[in-house]
Amino acid sequence: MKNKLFTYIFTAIALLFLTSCVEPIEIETSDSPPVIVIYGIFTDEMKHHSVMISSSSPYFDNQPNQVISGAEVQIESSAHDIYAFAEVDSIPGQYNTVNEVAGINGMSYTLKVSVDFNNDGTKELYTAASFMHQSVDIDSIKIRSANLMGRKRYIMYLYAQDSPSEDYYLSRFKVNDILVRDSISRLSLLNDNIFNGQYMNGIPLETFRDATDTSNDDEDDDDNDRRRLSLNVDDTVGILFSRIEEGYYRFINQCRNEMRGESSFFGTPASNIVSNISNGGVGYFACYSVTESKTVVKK
Amino acid sequence: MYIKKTAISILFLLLGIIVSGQNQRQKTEISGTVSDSKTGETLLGAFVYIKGTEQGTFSDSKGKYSLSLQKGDYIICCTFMGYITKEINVNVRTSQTINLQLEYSSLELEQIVVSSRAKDANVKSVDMGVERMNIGEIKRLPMLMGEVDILKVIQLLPGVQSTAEGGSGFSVRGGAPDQNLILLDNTTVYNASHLFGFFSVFNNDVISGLELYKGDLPLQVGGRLSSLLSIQTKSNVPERFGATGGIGLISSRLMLEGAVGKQTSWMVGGRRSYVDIFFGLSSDDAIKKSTLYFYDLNAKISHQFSNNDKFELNVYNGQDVFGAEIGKFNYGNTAASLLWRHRFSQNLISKFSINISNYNCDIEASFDEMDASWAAGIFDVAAKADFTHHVNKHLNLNYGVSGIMHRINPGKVSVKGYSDYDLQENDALEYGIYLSNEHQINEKLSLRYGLRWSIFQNLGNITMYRYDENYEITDSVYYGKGKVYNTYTRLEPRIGAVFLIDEQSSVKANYSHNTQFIQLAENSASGSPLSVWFAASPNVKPQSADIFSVGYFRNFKNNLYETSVEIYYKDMKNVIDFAEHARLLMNQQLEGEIRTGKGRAYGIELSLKKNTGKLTGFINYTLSRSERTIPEINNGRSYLAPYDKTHAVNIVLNYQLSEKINASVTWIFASGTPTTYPTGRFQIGGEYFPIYSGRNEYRKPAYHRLDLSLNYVPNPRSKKRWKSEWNFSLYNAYGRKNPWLISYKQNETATPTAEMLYLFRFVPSVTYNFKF
Repeated sequence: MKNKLFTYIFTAIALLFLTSCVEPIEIETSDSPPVIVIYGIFTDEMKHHSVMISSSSPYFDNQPNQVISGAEVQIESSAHDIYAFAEVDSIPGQYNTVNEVAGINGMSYTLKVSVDFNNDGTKELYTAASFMHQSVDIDSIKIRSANLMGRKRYIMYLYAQDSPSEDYYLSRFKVNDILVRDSISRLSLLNDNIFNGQYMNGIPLETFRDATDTSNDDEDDDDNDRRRLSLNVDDTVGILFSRIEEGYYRFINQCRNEMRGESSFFGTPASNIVSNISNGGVGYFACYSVTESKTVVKK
Repeated sequence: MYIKKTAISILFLLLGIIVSGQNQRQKTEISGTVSDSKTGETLLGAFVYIKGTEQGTFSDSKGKYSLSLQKGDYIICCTFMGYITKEINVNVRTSQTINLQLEYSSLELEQIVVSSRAKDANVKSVDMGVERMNIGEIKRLPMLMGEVDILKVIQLLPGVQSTAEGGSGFSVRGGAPDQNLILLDNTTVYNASHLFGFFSVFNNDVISGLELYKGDLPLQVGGRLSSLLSIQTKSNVPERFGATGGIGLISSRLMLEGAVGKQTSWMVGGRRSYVDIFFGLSSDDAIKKSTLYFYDLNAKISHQFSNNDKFELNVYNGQDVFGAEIGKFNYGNTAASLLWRHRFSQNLISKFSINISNYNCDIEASFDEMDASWAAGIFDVAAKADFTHHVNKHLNLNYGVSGIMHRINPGKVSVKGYSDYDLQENDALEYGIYLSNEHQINEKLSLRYGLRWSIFQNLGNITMYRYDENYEITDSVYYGKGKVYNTYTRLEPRIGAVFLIDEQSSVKANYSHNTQFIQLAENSASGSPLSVWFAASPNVKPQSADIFSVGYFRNFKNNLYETSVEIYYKDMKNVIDFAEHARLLMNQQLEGEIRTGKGRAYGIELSLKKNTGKLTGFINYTLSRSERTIPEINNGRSYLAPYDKTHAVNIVLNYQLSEKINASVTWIFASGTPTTYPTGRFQIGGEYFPIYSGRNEYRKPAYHRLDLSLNYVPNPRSKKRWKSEWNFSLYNAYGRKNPWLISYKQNETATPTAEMLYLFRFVPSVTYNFKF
């Protein structure tokens, strides 16, 4: 909401300074030594859960990062249940649970990855722990169209009770039963900073574009806006809503802030993204439960 | 440590008194009043000096001056800005009264190079690291969009760096922008910027001049580590009703001034930008309905009640307003002061004032059924009493007290349908008491020394959180309304000396200890109007700096050229930075995000200045370094401060081509600002995220720029009241692409690449200025 307003302020300032311009620049930096990258999500959904393992690379390297094969991966619950993973043959570096399994709310889980990443002949152990919070009861979600700065937009509102504790929420979306925009920069976050413990009586969660609005292709739309999801009337929109740990919330936020480099007036000094992987690894291992709710886009 | 410093200061003070007692020789005194030859108005601040000596004084608020001299023949000179310098031959046998009547110069004020200081003051005054400019010098320089902006001008001075392209934020000798105290007629201005810093809040039509103290702050002021920028609005009593104004690309200005009788004068000035007028032409409905403007209003009334009493009321208000269909965003300052100058006797002059300053920032947003607002700011009420006491030649005292009450509102959020979320207001008191003496020990050596005692107290009503070594809250304590729950006292000795080698050269040295109790929670170098101030507290120790400097000053060709070399070293303690990924807004536990450590800055400043003749201007070069060491940042390794610039060169030249035409050239070069480039990356689901090896290890490409301007006065000899001139300027004349932001671009199919955003290439502008 606040950001939206600033977008328009900056559009206005940009109009003022018509001479501002963007062009590529060559930057020479030294290269960081490679570190292991582990990213895994474990939820209460019954399915094959995955963990991805790769290596970091120099920032301006023009090849995709190398994946790491041959690791031993498992998750252990606080009740000492062990879920084994195996590398997927067709996708090197991706490790899936051998069986379809589901996490249990209120338990914590420890990811253990054993691999010889530094090629010294012995395997190192990388671990990370995460707590699976209780799921959230959603009363309903609603989608209404609204005119925002001359554009037709659909806004999704959430109706649910916030708990008295500090909460961090993650939303992912399905359009006509297909999960969309699942990459880290596209996840939707919410915290209860300003309404802690109160009823979320229509908190705006996400803004969508109208697929029939052709003015959407205006060149002054920012990158963020162009990548927004578009909806049509009668689409079924689903939300996958989760209460996540503060650490994972911060991780997503930091990833989003750091990936684009410097930002204008509200930037923070560049700082490394904080990981929960031990032993010098980067990435994250997060557990959460998922609550699903649906609505249909009306005119 | 403090005891030692105090002892040194007291020692100096005693020394002064002893020396002053010994050196009494038979002297006579000449005194009198400086006034306008036509109107008879007394002139304050005229410089009266004995030609060929270093002896001089300023006229006081009643235009009175006095000089003690040994018997002999002298030439008394009197200079005042806007007036023709007067010289009188006198034969001094006994004490006598000599009244000096100055003739008002019929030329435009801006075209006269008359300073209220002696020509050789740079060599002979104890002042060091002080820069003074009058508005005439400032107005001729080329400026972005033709907006004459004093905060941009001071960035051309040695040791002063801009913190972002086109921005009004500045760093003095490696210090942070919030370490500068900005006073407008002695009242604090907390955010001196308009339009996110691209313009400053000072309307040049109402300004008479500025002084920048780059470390050795006058003892009257405290509370900032790096510098004092003191800006004065016009204070001379106009002969008659007059108006000054201008029409520019960004804004228009108008200033009116006049007098009521002989005792009362007034001034009103205003400026408003009008970029948003063009929004109406936009085809985009959303832009059409948007507003974007800023304004400034200045007003001043002064009244002379008696020969010994003068009152002055100053008011400033300015706001930036950004409005769109979905909300409104505005921020701005108010600064007001009521000043009473009173003369107890010829030798004891006082100044009492009440000052109010306020900074507010408000956001309102509403769309569909949502209504939300955010408000933050800082409000000060201050009372000050300052005395200038001339006891004898060796005891020229300045002393006084001040008290400031701060009320900081770090943020209040209200969302319709939910209970309000307010951060706690923070109240604090800041007092200061000071005494300083300036005296000439002998013909070669002059000293100024003094001590300021600063006291800072935190007041309830507040719940204070306590933190453990990991910055996690351990518990909290509640303090009731008005309860003083924490007190810091600091002694700030400041000592300066000048040793005259000969008539044209001197060596100066000084030491100063400064303390800062309130600071800005700000992370971005370009400065954001949303940033909130926060106070020292049991969790946040006051910042302090020990500043040492020495300099050699030399004038050539009868003060035609001024040159100087200054070296400074600044040692800072409890300097503030913020935890990595700190959340500075809407954070009840902001203090848990603060990380403190040490800082140091050092450098050398070379300067060459030519003040008179057809060609005037200055060239300066600064070689400097500024770094911080904070245990929790950059793994405890030292890192460069964001405003560290190894080399900086400023060249400002002004040439009077003819009576009608005056041309200016400015060239700026500075090493690129320190930055953190990613050295590695990790990949998750097709997206790349950076890994850094350390903070500020790289530098952006160097910054340089050439600006040109031309002033054209169509009828310089016109006898008509209406006088006008045109200013044409070209900013960044050779179109250097100076990177403002460096960002990384990536998409699903390609690895990341870097791109830079640059602003302002070849920006021409035209401004029309008038006066009647």
